[in-house]
This record gives sequence, C-alpha cells and structure tokens, in this order.
Amino acid sequence: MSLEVVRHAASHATPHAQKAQEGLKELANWVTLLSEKAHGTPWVDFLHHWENVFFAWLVALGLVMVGLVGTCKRKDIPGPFQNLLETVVEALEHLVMDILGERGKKFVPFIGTLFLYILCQNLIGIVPGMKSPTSSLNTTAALAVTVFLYVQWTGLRENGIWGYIDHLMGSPRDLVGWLMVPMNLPLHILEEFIKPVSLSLRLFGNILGEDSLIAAFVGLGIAALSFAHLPFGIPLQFPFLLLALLTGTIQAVVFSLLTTIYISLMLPHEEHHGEPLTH
Amino acid sequence: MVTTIPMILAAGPLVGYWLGQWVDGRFGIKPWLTTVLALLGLVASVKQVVHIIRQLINEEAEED
Repeated sequence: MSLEVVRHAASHATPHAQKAQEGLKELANWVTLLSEKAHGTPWVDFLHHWENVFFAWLVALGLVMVGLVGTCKRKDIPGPFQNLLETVVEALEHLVMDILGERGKKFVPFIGTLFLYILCQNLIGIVPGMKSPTSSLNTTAALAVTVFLYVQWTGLRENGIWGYIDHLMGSPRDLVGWLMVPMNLPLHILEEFIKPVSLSLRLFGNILGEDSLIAAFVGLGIAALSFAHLPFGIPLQFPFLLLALLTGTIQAVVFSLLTTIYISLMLPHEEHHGEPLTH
Repeated sequence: MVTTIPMILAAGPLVGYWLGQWVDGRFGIKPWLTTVLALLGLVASVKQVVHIIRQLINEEAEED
C-alpha cells in the first residue's frame, strides 16, 4: 500500500517539476526579444530554440579570447592583464593542490577551465540582455556528465582496470571484506551515478532560483510605479544582483571543489594528501 | 560546501529509483529492485556525504 503511494507520488513528481519550472520566469534576454519581434524567421526561431547553447558558446568564445590575448605577448615582468590572469591561475592551482597535493597539478587545467566556464556562465545572467546557460538543466547535466566521465577515466588510468574494479568492490583484503563485496559493489556503482545527478541539480536549482528571484523583483519594481505610467520601475532587484554575484561565485567554487574531491576519492588510497581514506 | 549535502541525500534514492525502474522494467520483476535500489541509494548517499565531510575535515586539519 505504502509502496503504491510512493510510486503514485513519484509518477506525478516529474510533471509537477516541469510545471514548476515553466511557472518560474526569467528576465528576457536579447534572443527572446528578437524572437518576439521576428517570430517565424527560421534563423531567429533556431537561435531562440538553442539559446542556452548559444550563450554557453558565447561564454566559451569569450574565455578563449581572454586566454589568447593573455598569452600571446607574455613578458617576464607582467603587465596588469597578465598579472590578473596569473593570479587567477595560481588561485585555482591552490584550490586543487590543497586537496590533491602535488599530484593535483595535472588536474588543474580541467578543474580550472570548469571553474572559469561555470563562473562566467553564472555571472553572464546578471548582464542585461544576457542569460545564464546554467539555469537550464541541460547545460548543468552536460557539465556533470563531463565530470562523471573524466572521474571514471582518471580512476581507470590511475588504478588500472583491476585496481578500478578493486576500488568499486571496496578494496577487500580479508574474508570480511570479500563477504562485503555483494553489498559494497552496488553501493559504489550507485555512488558514482549519484555524483553527476547531485552536481547538476544543485547548480541548476541555485542559478534558476537566483535568476527567477531577480525577475520577480524587476516585475515588482515595475508594478510599484505602474500608476505613474513611467517607462521604468524602482530597481528593487539591485540587492539580489549583488547576492547573485556571491551565489554565482560560490556555486562555481562548490562545483570545482566537489569535482576535485571526486577525483581525490578515485585516486589510489596511499596517494591521498594527508590522512588516507577508507572507502 | 555544506549546502551540497541535502542535494546528495536527495539524489541517492532518486538514482536508485530510476535505475530500479529501468532494471525492473527490463526483467518484469516490479517493484522489488526499485525498492531495494532506492534504499541502497539512500545508504550510498549517506556514505558519500561521510566521505566528503571527512575529506573537508582532513583538509582543514592540514591548514591548522
């Protein structure tokens, strides 16, 4: 009976979640405005349909440009721009190597890129006319699947195929350990699948919530001055823009930090920085 | 970082439920694996939370 109730609730959960997401409004971006002006034009409809991918590519292109400009004329005595980039790279190196130790150096490019990409995707939503691609579950799921595949690949590369299977079995070394394998193996496999789901849902939920909050307060600000028929409203959203700066950065840090921890959990035990962990 | 814990705890049973539904559907043994995997998902998520907290405590201890 109780199982029936759970199944019934779960079968209704997905449509409810979709309805909830449809009910949450974000601020219009220039692609939305273009789509309203030129609805029916094939390329505008295409752009509107793929707007999250478009803004994600825009961010990626911006980062590539910054990287190219920052590295094309490197000097021994760096200028302000090169200094800024070096500070960012050093901070990212510290973030990764604090957890992974000296071995973490080779993971800095992946985790660093991930951090900067997510940070810019989160913050681009604050710019008027732009949209955070991370407020779509498709974008965050793609990022989380990338992390999932990279972590599994790292596990296979660092431990070897038998070491990887041994890790999944909970590294049994005695009779009790081997008796626990039927329990540990499904638990470990489930754990690996939980990682991308929790990563993607958390980032998506936070950024969508933040963007919806800003949109709601923009609406309130306009409604508050509607009696005067003015073409603008009270900027009630301003404190939440500052909050979005903070939460956008925190979410990017948390995503990168969790990726680092997942990589660290996959590395051979004795190589862990600090006290060895039991899996 | 602590804000990630509820999400992991929610994702565990959810992943277990989805996997269980898929496997149950293939083998026609509903609802046994769904129930077992949803419970195992919860256990796995608790285990993962413990790992993350332990890792963070280790990191803080090294900083001090």
